[in-house]
Amino acid sequence: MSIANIVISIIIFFFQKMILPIMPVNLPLISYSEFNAILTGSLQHNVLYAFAGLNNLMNLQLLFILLISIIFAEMLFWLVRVGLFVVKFIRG
Amino acid sequence: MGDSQYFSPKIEKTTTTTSFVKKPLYGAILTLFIGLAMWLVPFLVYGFNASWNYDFEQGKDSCFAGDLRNCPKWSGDNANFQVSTVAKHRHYLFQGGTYNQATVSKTLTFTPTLSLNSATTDDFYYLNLPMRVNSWSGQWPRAYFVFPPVPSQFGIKQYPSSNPADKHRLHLANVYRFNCQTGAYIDYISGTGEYLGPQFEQNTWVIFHFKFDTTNNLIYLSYTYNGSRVDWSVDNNKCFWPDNTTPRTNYNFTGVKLDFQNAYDWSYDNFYYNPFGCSLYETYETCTGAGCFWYYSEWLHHSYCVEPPEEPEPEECGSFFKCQYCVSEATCEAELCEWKDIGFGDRCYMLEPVIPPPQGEWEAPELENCEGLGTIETWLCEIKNFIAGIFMPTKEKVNEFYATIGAFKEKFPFNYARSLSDFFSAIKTGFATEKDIPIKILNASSTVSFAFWNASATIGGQSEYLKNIVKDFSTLIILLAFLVWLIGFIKRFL
Repeated sequence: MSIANIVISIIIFFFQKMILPIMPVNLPLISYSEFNAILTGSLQHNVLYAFAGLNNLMNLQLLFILLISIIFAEMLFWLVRVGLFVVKFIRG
Repeated sequence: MGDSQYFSPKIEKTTTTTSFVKKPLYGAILTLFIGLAMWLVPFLVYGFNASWNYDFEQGKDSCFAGDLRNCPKWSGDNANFQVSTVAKHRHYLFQGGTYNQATVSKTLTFTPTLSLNSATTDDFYYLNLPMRVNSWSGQWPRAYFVFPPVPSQFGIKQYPSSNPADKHRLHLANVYRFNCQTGAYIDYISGTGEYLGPQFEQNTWVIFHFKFDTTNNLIYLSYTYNGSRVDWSVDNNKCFWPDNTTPRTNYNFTGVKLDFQNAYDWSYDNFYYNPFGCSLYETYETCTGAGCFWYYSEWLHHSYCVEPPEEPEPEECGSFFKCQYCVSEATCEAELCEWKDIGFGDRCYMLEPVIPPPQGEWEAPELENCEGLGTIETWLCEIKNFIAGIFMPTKEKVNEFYATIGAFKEKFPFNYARSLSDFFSAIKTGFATEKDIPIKILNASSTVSFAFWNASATIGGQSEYLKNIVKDFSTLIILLAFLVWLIGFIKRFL
């Protein structure tokens, strides 16, 4: 057995026995299967059905990228404000 | 400066310190309040979804149609127990039942609203009857489904001995076997009975699927255990009927009886029995396997098993869970679903994707060929190969490592992220596909075709498609709108 195989075996052992067993699969409020089923099972189909054909009229991909950017930026802004408030509140 | 100035609105407005403190304070409190309220909604929905998923009929003593586990009288005394439930679907013919307790055996008899021999839209009746054995006392515990007036028994019985620690097996008694295709007689299973099929664990549902062929007078037996369905009759080409006359008697079955048999005592209140309810099934496989419908509630964001509709809505036909709505083979297969008969006639089912195990692309490079070299060169070559071999992993080890890394993809948060990524990829691909816009006016479905958009116009001496012109303009409007937001967003920091 080569040294490389031994090193890889140690890493595999570390991952399989010490890391993977303690990593959760599901979140408490929404399991992975439920989450995946919602996304790929119905939401995806509903979104594609609802927006079918609209890609002829406008660049839906760009629109959604910008919308998601706005949501992300606003959320970040809101979190920063909450963080500042908490700091101010604690400091008096 | 006196304290009174702080009570003057005029002074307060001009005091930068006060406004600096108060404005972010009120803003932050309001933001925090709204934010918390927003965060609380999903917690409330998910935290109490079990109680929200409840109707008034179900609320009566927690004993609802098809699920007798919570019925208070189920574990009560020996009084007759009338099950008040309504089963509307044609697959479930029985409503109402009477529980009778005898000394050595207990029965629960359900009286059908229709005879099993009455006319139907097709020539088959389907009964899906789950049972499980939770605990027991006494020896040779067993439970059967019997179809009065005949004595044939289909059920589970402990095997191989009377030791309560033993598992159960499929057990049939007092029934004749026939060739399913020709109807020819094969043999007779006596009252002693015969064990069939695999062993069943304690406290695990075994769902019996009976198919009554009322034209040829044959009973097909299937069962689902641990999510796997076995079509025993079809696989073994052996069907059943209570007699061996020629022609076989056309019985008027008067009901179905769950019969617990034991020489001593049965803990009948530990038997769970559900002749109707689709609500029993907790996974897509067992739900559709029992002929039920896997329903996704957009309000609860939760999927559960419900009674199937009499006629599915064809326009709802789609991939995955919406395969169930496809009513023809063509539409079913167009949505990458599977059209098959698992005992309920030809229907459309979700096709399980087969994901191959992850494999690395590592190929160990070949070592140098040392043949034909001189002595010293051979030694040097062998030493070089030896050193290279030390640091060269084998393909099997690299694949094992690759598979281990792949296992992380099934763990949080990578599995959620992958699912989200797949979702966006599918949306992106779906949007890129040009489709007509579906419309529905006065219940008439149609589409708006965009074929005319391929017409071209000459602008500035160059030919350009109409759809490109419109898309470019709409892109410009979208970018402008984003710019307006961006300016407003930046101004908040200035």
